[in-house]
Amino acid sequence: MRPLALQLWTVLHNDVRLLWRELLASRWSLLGNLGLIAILLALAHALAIALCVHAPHPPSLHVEAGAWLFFGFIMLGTAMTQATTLLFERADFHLLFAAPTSPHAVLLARMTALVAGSALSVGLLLLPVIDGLIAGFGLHYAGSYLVWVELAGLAAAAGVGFTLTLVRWLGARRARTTVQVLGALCGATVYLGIQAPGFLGEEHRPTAERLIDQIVANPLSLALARGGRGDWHTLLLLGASTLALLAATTWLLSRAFLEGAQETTSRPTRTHRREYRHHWRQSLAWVTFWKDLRLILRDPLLLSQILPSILYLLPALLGLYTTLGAATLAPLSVMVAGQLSSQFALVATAGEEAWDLIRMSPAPERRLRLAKMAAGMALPLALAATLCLALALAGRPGLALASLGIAGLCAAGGAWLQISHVRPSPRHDVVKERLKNSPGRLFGGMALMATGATAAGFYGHGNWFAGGVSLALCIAGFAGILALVKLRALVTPD
Amino acid sequence: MSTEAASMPPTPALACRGLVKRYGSTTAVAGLDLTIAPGQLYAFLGPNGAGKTTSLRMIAGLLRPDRGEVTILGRSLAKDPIEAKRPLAYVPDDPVLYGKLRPMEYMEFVAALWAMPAAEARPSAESLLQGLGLWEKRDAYIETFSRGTKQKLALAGALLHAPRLMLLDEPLSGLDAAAARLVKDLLNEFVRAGGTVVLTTHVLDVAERMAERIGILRGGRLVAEGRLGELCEQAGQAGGTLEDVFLRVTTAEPGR
Repeated sequence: MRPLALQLWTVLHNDVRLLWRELLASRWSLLGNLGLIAILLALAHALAIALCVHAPHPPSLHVEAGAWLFFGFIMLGTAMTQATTLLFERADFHLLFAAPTSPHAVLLARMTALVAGSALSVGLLLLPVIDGLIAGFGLHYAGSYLVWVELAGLAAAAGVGFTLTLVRWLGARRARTTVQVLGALCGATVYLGIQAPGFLGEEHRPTAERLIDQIVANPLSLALARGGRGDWHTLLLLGASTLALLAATTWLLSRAFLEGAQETTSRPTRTHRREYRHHWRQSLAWVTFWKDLRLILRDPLLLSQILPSILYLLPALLGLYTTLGAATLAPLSVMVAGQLSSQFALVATAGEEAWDLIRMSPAPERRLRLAKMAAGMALPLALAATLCLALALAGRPGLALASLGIAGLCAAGGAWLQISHVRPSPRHDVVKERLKNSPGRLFGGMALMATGATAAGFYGHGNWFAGGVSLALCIAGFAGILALVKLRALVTPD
Repeated sequence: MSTEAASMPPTPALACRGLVKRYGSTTAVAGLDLTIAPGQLYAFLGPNGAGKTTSLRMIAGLLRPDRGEVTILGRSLAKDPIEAKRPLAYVPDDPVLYGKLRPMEYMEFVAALWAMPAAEARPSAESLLQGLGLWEKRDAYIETFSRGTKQKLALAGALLHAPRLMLLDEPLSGLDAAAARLVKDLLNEFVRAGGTVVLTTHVLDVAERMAERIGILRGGRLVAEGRLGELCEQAGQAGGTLEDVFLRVTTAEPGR
C-alpha cells in the first residue's frame, strides 16, 4: 500500500480542485476571474492599512473577540453546508472506499478540504484586516494567521459533528435543509446582533451593548483574540485543541461511514400513507399555476433558501418602527411582496425542471410563463395580505388597502422581470443563480420595491405629498418595466 | 378523382431533409435524410456520439437544426410548430419529471399542455397508470420512484394525448425484464393501431425483434438503412445477424 501521505494527497488534490471549480462556478462567478478578486483584495488591503496606520490605538480585546466570533460563525455555516456536499452529496465513496486506499486517508482528506474551504470563505474579509493590523500595530498580529487556520479547523470539526448528528436523526436530504436554515439563521443572528444597537433607540442602546459585550467575552473568543495578538501559549493551546478535535471528528466519521451513514442519502424525503384525492383541472393557466405553487410549497429546501432573505430587512424595519409604530407593516408588506415574488417567479421559471416537455408540446409559452408569474406571486401576496389585515385591525384600514395595492404592483413588476428572461438552472441552485441577473433587471426590481416601500412608509407617516411622489415614481417604474422589458425566448444550451 | 387519391402515397409520419447540426467545429448530424411511413417502428442504431439523440431532439423541436427541414405528418416543424407538435410525443433517455408532484398531477399538467379536455384526459390517465402498474403509487411523490418507474410514468405521459408519432430515446434502459416486456408490448400495440415509433437503442436484439426498419448512424450520417434483410444485403452479410451488419458498417473505414 502507498504511504498514507500520498493517499491523502491523491484524494485531497481531487477534492480541492473540485471545490475550487464549484466556487468559481457559483458565488464567485460574478467576480468573473482571479484578476478581479486580486483587485478587490488590493483595495481592501489599502483601506485596512490606511485605517490601521492612522488609528491612535489598536482595537480593544473585546472588539477583536467579537470579530473572531463573527468570522467563526461564517466559517461554521460554510463548514456545515460543505460537509453535506462533500460527505453526503458527492456520492463518490463507492469509488474511494472500494479503492486500495485507507478510509482514514479519505476522510482525513475530506476534513482537510473542509478546513481549507471554511478558511477561504472569509479570506476576502479577514486577510486585509489581519494585514492592516500588522501594518498598523506590529508584527505580533501575525499570530492571527494561525488563529484563522485554527478557527477554521474548529469550525470544520464542529460543522461536521453537527451535520453528522443531523444526518443520523433526519437523513441526508432533510439534514441539508436543516443545515441551510440554521446556516442562514446563524448569519442573520450575527448580522442582527451587530445592527441591534443602531435600531433599538437611545434608551435601550447601553443594555444592548452590555449584552453583546457579555456574549463576546466568552473564554473561547477571548482566547482567539489573545492568540491573534501573538500570545504563544494561547496559540499552542488552541492548536492542540484543534488537532485533537479534528482527530476525534475524523475517527467519528470513519466509524459512522463504516456503519453506512453515507447510505442515508437515498432515504426518501417523505412517504404518503393517506389516500390523496386529486381535483383535475383543465385550463393550462390554472394547471400550471397550481403545479408551480405545489412545487414551491412542497420544497422545504427551496423555502429555506428564500425565506431567510426577509430577515435581512428586519434591521431597517425595526429602525422604522420607532417612528411609524404599527404603520411599519405597510412598507414591510410591500417589501415582502416585491422581494419574495421576484424570487419565487425565478424559481418557477428558471428552476422549471421539465423545459423539454414544455418546449416539445404545442402549448403557448407566453400563457404558461404568465401562469408561472402568478404562481410566484401567490404566496408572497398572501403574506402581504396577512400583514395588511393586521394593519387594518390595528386601526389603519385605508393604509392597509393602499399598501396591498402597492404590494401587488411591486410583486407583479418583480415577477415580470424574472419571467421575461429565463435562463434554466438546476432547481437547487436557482436562488444562487439570481445573482447572474443583468444589472438592469437587478436595479429595476430594487428601485421598484424601494419606491413602493417608501410610498407606503410616507403614507403611514401621514406625509401625503411625499407618499404621492413616491407612488407616482413606483407606477412610472412599473409601466417602464412593462414597456421596456419584453418576453424573450428561452435561453437553453443547444 | 377518388382513384387519383387512392394511388397517392400516404403522408409520411416523419420526413427529414438534409438535417445538419454543428456544435462549434464538431458536426453532430451531417445531412440526415429520412422518410418514415405511418404505422412503422423504426430503430436508430449507432455507436456513442453517432448523432442519434441529437437527431431525435431536432425532430422533437428541442434543438434548432443549422440546416434542413423536419416534417411531421405533412406539417413543417419550422413553419407550423404548434400543429406539427400536436401529434408528437418524445421520451428522453433520462426523463426529467417533477420530483415533488404525484403521478396524477403530472398527467394533469401533460394533458393541459396538449389542451386535452378534462373529461377525456382523466379517465385516460387513470387507465394508463393502471395499465403500466403505477396506480398503486398514485399517492406518492415522483421523487420516491425508481428509475424504471419514472421511465414508465414518462411513457404514460407521452401516450396520454394519443400521439401518432412517438420518439423514444433508449426507452428500455433502466427497466427490469417484466417492465421491458410491458413497454415492448405497449409499443407493438401502438404501432398495430396505426401509430409510428422512432426509437434509439443500444440493444441490437430489441431492434432486430421489434423494428420494421432500421437506420444505422455513424458520425452524424445515415450509413445504412432498410429492413433487416436489406441491411444484410447492403453490408454483404446475407443471412447474417444485425450485430454482424452493425459491426461491419460502424467499424468499416470511411469510403469503403
